[in-house]
Amino acid sequence: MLVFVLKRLLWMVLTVWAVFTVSFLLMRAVPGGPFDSEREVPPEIKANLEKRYHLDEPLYQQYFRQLAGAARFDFGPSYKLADYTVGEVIAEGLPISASLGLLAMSFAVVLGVTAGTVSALRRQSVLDVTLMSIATIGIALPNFIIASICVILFVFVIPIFPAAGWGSISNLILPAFCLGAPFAAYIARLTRTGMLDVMGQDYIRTARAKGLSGRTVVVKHALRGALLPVASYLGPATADIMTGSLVVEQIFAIPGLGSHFVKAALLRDFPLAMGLVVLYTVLLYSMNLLVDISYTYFDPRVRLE
Amino acid sequence: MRNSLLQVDDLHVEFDTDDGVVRAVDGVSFAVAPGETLGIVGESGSGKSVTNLAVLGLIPRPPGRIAGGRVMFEGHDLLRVGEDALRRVRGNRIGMIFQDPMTSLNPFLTVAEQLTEVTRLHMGHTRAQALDHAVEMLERVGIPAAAERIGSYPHEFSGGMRQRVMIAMALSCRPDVLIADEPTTALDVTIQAQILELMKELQRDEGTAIIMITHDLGVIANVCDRVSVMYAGRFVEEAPVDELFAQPRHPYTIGLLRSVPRLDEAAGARLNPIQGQPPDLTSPGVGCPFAPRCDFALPVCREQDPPIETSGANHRFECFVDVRDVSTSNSTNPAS
Amino acid sequence: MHPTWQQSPQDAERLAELLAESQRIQGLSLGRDAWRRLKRTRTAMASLGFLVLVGVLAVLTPLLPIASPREVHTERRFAPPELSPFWAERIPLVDDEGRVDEAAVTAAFGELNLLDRALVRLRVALFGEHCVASVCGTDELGRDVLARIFWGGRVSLLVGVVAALVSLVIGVSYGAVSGYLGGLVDDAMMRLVDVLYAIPFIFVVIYLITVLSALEASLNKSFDRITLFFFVVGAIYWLTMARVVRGQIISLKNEQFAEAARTIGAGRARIIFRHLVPNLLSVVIVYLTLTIPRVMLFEAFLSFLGLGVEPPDVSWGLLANQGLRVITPVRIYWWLVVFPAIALGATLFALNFLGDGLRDALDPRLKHR
Repeated sequence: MLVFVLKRLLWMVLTVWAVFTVSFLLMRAVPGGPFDSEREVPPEIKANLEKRYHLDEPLYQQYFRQLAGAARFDFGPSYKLADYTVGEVIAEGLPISASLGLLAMSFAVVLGVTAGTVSALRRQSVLDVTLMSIATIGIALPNFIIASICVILFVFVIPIFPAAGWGSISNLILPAFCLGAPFAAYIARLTRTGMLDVMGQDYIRTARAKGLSGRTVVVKHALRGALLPVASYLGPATADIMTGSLVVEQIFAIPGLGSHFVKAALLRDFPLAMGLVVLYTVLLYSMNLLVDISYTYFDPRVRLE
Repeated sequence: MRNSLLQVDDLHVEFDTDDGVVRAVDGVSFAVAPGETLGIVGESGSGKSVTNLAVLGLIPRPPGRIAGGRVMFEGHDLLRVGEDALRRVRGNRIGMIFQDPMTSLNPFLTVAEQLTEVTRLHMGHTRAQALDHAVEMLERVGIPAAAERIGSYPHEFSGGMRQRVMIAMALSCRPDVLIADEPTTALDVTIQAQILELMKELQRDEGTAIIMITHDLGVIANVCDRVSVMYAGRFVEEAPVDELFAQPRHPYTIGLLRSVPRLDEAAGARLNPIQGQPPDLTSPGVGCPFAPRCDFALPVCREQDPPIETSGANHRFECFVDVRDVSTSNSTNPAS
Repeated sequence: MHPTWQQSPQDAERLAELLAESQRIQGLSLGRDAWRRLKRTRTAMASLGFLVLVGVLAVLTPLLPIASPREVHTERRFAPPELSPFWAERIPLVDDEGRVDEAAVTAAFGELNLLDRALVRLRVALFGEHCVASVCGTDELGRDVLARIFWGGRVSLLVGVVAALVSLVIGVSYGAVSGYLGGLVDDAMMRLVDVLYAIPFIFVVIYLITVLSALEASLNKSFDRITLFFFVVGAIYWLTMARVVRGQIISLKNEQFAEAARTIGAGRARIIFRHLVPNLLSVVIVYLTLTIPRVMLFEAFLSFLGLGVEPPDVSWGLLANQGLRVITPVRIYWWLVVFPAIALGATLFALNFLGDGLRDALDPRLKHR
């Protein structure tokens, strides 16, 4: 187990290093400095700027400086948010994005598992068809469309939620719901398939032959096996929720990492963008590791080698 | 039938499939007395398992459906008592063992959990009582170091050991009837013998009635008192085990007996399988379902359902032909 | 002891019966069987019909008598949907001598290829300069939303199909090679896939696009965003395909027909791509139908963030973004959101349903679910 974790951490370091190096090279592939394309700057100011960002050093020196910084999670000052370092932007945005993401994930799991289980147990009923049609809509529609429908409905038509911004719980609920909805839909379908699969297993027949109630059979004997596919989906789901947050934070004007990343991309703020890419890689890797470890809890047959 | 414990009358089970309604069980009747072992033999898909799943209401519905009949147990019709009453019978008064011990135990729960939940449910055991009882049961079915191993998961046991766990589980509440659905099919031959021996021994101690479902005539000869031969959803012949082997009266039974490989045969001798395939149960025609494969078939076999004939008190079969009258070159001495 | 076969009429009859039976069984190939099952799934068939319709309309868009997706009419900003007068609008496509004016066509529809130009000429011949009213309203520059949805659909569908095909080619080749070679090569190739899986690709892609647009600015050259998109998406979405194909190949490569090909001296590449890959057709079709909507979603997502298709090109994602941007508490121009959303949603919906239907049809094990 410990060996497994260490091995995975080693791979993470390697991956992050590769991502970093590629990003760095790409960034430097752009001819001229980041300040060349701006309006004319006096040469002395430009020299000052380049010194501040260490752009006057040779490339390999910049690379190692940045790599050393990245190892300490220090990506230097942001190009565009003049008074901020990348670290400060992350420190400010991460808690916001993390709470949004976690709430969305909880929505997704709770709604998805419930809907999927109910659907599987009432197979081919009106309820099943309805739930699964909603799930298909949830999967098929882009989340910005779901979000905008929600905004139109719950902010403008029936004003029960504030339109945008950040600060209170009510600011969080609607965005988290919109962010989590597609994943709830996907989890619902996974749970349904998993549940139907498990309910057809011999050991469920054994459990019923023992005289256990339907509830016990489902909750105690079936649910765990049915949730295995859901557990392995949580890794990719994390990646997708990160992605989704770019859009949702934009729509609801939430000052999280997603908004910063999009802005950084649009304004070509390379250090910030790179810092965020590395951060997201680390987060995703950690989440995948957690999922793998949780697998041993879910399935006693799994041994981490 | 004398003081029967469980009596099934004219049971019909149907399944809805894409290709139409399958009549998996088509009017089956049988009974078991306390301490008796009834064998049900037939090839795959003949409806043996479905019959017994139907007894305990374990047919998946949909697509399955019980289309008629009665299952009398202690004066109640199990097909009509409702789910709650049926649950009090399952695992408690009627235990069940399934074919594949690899898949019949829940891989996610410990053996202790799976054993104790049944006695806690039916016998009102506390957790500690149930655990003691479970260890005792495991010891009785011959699992060494039961107290230590009870906390293990099923995948940590071998196939034979898992089947022993299944038997311990099915017998935990000292049921009156044990339905064993191909309990030895998935096991090695040596383990098979051990498991059968174990079941006989437990039966002697507890006086449990056993319904043994199998396609293996060797198992039947080994453990059963009476045998029913099932073909295409019907019981085509029923007899005490010695009589069935000595003097089979239905052509299908003869075919079955003849298709068993024998050690005393000359090396290189051919097996004698029954030619053809079991009928398509979605479109049962008139007449005997075995007629298309039957060496003895008469024109009448394809036109009318065969009559129920009896021979002696306990031997009944469904056939137009008296096979004793028909002398064919290759039907002599079919019994092993 | 054994019966000797004498050819009696009864036997002959029985043999004929058996033969007929075996022929019946053989006659139902996997593909035909799957098609039979698919035809019974009403949602899948409806989706298929819808998608064929959408595809045909997308190809024939230049032929349709609709307005220009680019022409700005400042006097008609935010005009709500209207049905009458239905046939009064015109767009200038013909010069004084009654011939098709190429410059006007380019102004109205952008650079077109030969086929599309031919279609426009046919349109002029059929409908003249007439076009239908703005049944879906107009946007903040007075452009016709219906026309924009049609022209945007071409881009969205093209991106979806081509990018999915790119990822398919990469994924199938990679997975097939990895699975067939096995051993260390397989280990290494699959470890790479694992590593790539763990990278939040969309962020890398956005980063890449940022860098490339910076390059674009500094070199004063323009990349075609749509072409760029094909490669980028192809690079991401092949991973799952590669894994699935690898698994299938591993189970197929020891089948007898592969052995047979090997014994007659077929080369590795030939065995992989001629003998094994065709057996993956069903898996590949299912994944293709499920990848297309994902790619289209991704395109919509990037366009929404302003990183995808760039004006004056249009795509459904871009349209939805433009619609959302003008939502204010004071006034909701609903037609700017609703119509693009319906177009995008319905297409994705149909693709998903078709993909599910195909999967169920090709994998009968799952049929009763």
